[in-house]
Amino acid sequence: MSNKEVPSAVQKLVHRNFKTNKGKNLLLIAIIVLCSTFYSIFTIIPYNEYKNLERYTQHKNGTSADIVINDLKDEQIPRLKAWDTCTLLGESLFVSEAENEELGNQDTEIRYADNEYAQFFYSFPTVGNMPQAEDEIAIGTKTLRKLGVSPQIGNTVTIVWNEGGEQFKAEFKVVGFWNDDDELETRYIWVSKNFAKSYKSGNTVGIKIDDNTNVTDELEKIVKDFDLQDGQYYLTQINYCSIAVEILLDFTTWIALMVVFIISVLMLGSVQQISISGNTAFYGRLKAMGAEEKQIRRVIWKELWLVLAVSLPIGLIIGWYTGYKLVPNMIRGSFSYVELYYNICILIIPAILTIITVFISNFKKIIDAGKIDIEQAFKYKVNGDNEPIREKKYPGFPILFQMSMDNLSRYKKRSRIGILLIIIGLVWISSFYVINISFDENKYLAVTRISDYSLNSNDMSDDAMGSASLEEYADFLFGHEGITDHGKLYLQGYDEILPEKVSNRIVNYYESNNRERLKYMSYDPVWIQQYNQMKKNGKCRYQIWGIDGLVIDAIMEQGNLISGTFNKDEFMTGKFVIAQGISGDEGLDEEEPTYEVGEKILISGKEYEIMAIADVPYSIKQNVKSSSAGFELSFFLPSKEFGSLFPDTNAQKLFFNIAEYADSSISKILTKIEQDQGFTFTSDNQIIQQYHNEVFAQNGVEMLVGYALILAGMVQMGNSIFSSIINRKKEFFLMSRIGMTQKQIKIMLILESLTCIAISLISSYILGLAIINFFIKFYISSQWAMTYNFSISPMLILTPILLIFAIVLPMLAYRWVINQEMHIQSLEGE
Amino acid sequence: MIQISGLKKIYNRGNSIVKALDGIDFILNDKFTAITGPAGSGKSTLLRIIGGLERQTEGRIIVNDIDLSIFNKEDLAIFRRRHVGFVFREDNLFSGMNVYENIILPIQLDGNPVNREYVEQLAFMMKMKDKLMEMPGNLSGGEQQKAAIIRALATKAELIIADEPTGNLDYESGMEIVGLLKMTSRELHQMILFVTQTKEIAEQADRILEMQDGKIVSTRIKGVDYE
Repeated sequence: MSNKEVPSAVQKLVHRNFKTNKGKNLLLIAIIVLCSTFYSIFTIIPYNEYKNLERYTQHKNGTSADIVINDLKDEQIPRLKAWDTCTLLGESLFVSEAENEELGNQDTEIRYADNEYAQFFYSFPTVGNMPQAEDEIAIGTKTLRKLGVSPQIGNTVTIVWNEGGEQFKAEFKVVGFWNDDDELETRYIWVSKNFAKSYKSGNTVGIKIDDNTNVTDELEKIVKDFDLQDGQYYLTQINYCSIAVEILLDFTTWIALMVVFIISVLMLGSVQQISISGNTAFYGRLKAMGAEEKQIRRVIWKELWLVLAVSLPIGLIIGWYTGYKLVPNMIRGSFSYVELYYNICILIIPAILTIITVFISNFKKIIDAGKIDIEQAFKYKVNGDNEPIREKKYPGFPILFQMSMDNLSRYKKRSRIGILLIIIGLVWISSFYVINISFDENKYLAVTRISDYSLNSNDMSDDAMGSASLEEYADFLFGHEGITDHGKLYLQGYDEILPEKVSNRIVNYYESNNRERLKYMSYDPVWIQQYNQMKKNGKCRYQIWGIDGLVIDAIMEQGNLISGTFNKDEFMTGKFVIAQGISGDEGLDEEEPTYEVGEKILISGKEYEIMAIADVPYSIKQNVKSSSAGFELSFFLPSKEFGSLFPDTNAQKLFFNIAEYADSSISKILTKIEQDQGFTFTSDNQIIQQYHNEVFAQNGVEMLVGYALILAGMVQMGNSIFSSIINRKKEFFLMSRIGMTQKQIKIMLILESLTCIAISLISSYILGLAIINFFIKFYISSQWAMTYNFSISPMLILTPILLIFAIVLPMLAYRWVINQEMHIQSLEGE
Repeated sequence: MIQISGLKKIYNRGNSIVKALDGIDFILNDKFTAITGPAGSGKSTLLRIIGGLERQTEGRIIVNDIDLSIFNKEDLAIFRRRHVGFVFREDNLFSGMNVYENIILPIQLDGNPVNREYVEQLAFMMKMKDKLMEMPGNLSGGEQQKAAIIRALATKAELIIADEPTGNLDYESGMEIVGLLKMTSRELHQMILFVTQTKEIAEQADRILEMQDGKIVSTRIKGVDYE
């Protein structure tokens, strides 16, 4: 037989080892599967969070185009398309806003668009196609349903619009539709080009710029070359880098990955150590027969990579499946909906992490295995020679207790790690549990809401004119039995030119301290655009709020005052306004980015005086959409005065408090109104539920980490117990020979493991009590929505579980060892 | 006295059967008995069954009027610590305890008070009195065997079973150990049953049983052959 036909000795040994070490290899497979599963989960979740955040930001922008330009001349469009760095151009012609009553205040534009433009604005038909004939449209399914038509190709729908003050109405055939995205503020109805051209329609183009080019620089060139005017264009570029950084700065994921790494290294290292110890005589004989150190190491490594080749794909598959199942729950608090983004390449990261973990956990141990001393291997004993004389450690204690303490001291190193992990895990879980249960609903609600219920119109934006129906319901509800207090909220937005001193004040606020505040806002390009516009021409969005009843009282609470004084009587005269300031800057010697107290302000041509600058309770502006991406100045007037300025604007929100006895009946009424009218109402329960949804992901990962630590500690301790029992096989037979009963041996083993668990539990209780009563209490005292609520429930629940574990595991290990070795031992004597 | 009748021990090894003992019958009254035979003849199996470490497949064993076949595992363990002392070729002592602690362990496991004076007397007999506080790892092979013998004697067991107690020792040390065993059997009136492959050591015994293929092929009282 030639050399090529004879399998190498190393390969033979690898095969032999793989078969002989079945138990250990199965355990390694299980650990590596778990390790790669968790790595996959903690990669898939942040990846999906990034993609959802990217999508959400894009949708908030309204378009995926880099630059949007209005009113180009016809001949300019092909020239722009041919622009060096322009990779894609989409064109649209604006017809009008749809004015169907059923649409309410939904912003719906009727336009012609080519395919690129429709795709830029997330409104390309997924069923059917874009319209060609003048009586054809493509439309979103939710918009279609609002118009009372089911989404089906061929169905007809009547669209109403306004042209030059005259209302038009026409029936169209649906030739294409898509699912409207809830995150988009503007919806579209696409019409054919011919239809659009028959109206005085201005064009809009969206363009994508080459990824390797600086978009801002390109825009400057385009503006110059095409002689564009201010307001004719805007930049929509998203700062993907800051989105990625936001995800990467999520420390919870890093902690989770670190915990998986540490636990896996410990577990894999322990198992390998036990295996190498158990095979010491074998490796010694190999060396005696002439095997080199590197050959022995090669055998062990190859066996390990074989195990990895089996377990890694399994772990990645399980991690993929589990990760994608968890994604909707783990990131749901942040987005209106969660989309799953599948990308097989993402599994490269957990694969690499797993390989690195396996390598690091085994590296030193395998090096040491190669260095086994032949002589030592042949007379391998669990304990070395030349031990010092020891006095009895526990004189007077029963002999079994003394023996168990003596055994424990021989394996204390391995036990220490398990004990430490369990202590950290128990204290961790208990600490986060106390944080979770210390959430004070009353405190939270006191800040986040100003009344028991609020009823909101279905389109809350500053140019929506409110809801006439809501005004009617106000009369009905406020007179209802059980309503103890109420108030209305009106809103009207419009653009105004700021006095120079006010715009300077705003610029100074955002650009002082090395432009820190401006940098913080850079994630929102629309906000930046509005800010730059204000700097250039002083134009700024005003949001004028009309308030009455309990809304006035809520704003005028002393805690909200930033500067000036609250005087309700003077406010009600209608000569004063309250300006919204920005809280959190107390102690800083900076002016608020708005009018000052005592200054005069013109609102819709009428002059008022600033009475005070106040922080506005969150629930007043909650869910209100800003047409200027949050860059606006807000001013509050009594609703009567508001009505004189904007007589056509109706209420946006109703607030009311109810007597306890009326809670059930009012809730039923509101539910019916919600169903009939499409209004939404907010109650305490909803606010609390929303809070829990938002923190769910964070809490989930924190508790998961804690349980993982405890599990790792139990596995490590189990490993230590198991290996100590395996290594004492001969001692057990000796014990049996001298007449130690099985019961006595088992009691001794249970005492050993119970001692470890007892040390873990006692230390956890002491440390946990100290940490919770000092550090956690201190942390909670600094949180506005928390009241310290002491509990050690997790420890109390886990205590019996750990005690049972301490009793059961040594029994199982001992039984396994005895069954394995009994027959071998009996024949070895021959 | 040891009475054995029809003793058989059969092991199942997958598809094959191993007959370690294939019908043993004898009555033993002698104080100092040696069992010899080639490797695989069943010597150690016989000792383990007599000592209650294993159960026979067939047959009966009565040790000092105690029928071992009625005992369960726990009863056998108690029987061993009260009536039998074991000495093996190696690994006789617990490495985590000193010599004295090893010696008194079976007494403590039985819940009985320890007679320290008696233990020291035995240690003196074995020339081990100054080694009582040493750890096993610090003893030579012979000293470890002596410690194991003292432990076997300290319980005042009626039967001492030694499986190749001199197997790891040089000739001189081995003869010394056997001499001590013989002396203690006479002075303390204990029956000693030991296995050896060394002819000179076997010749020290009052009776020699020769085994082959799981059977006793010859019995010799010193100088006399019986088949």
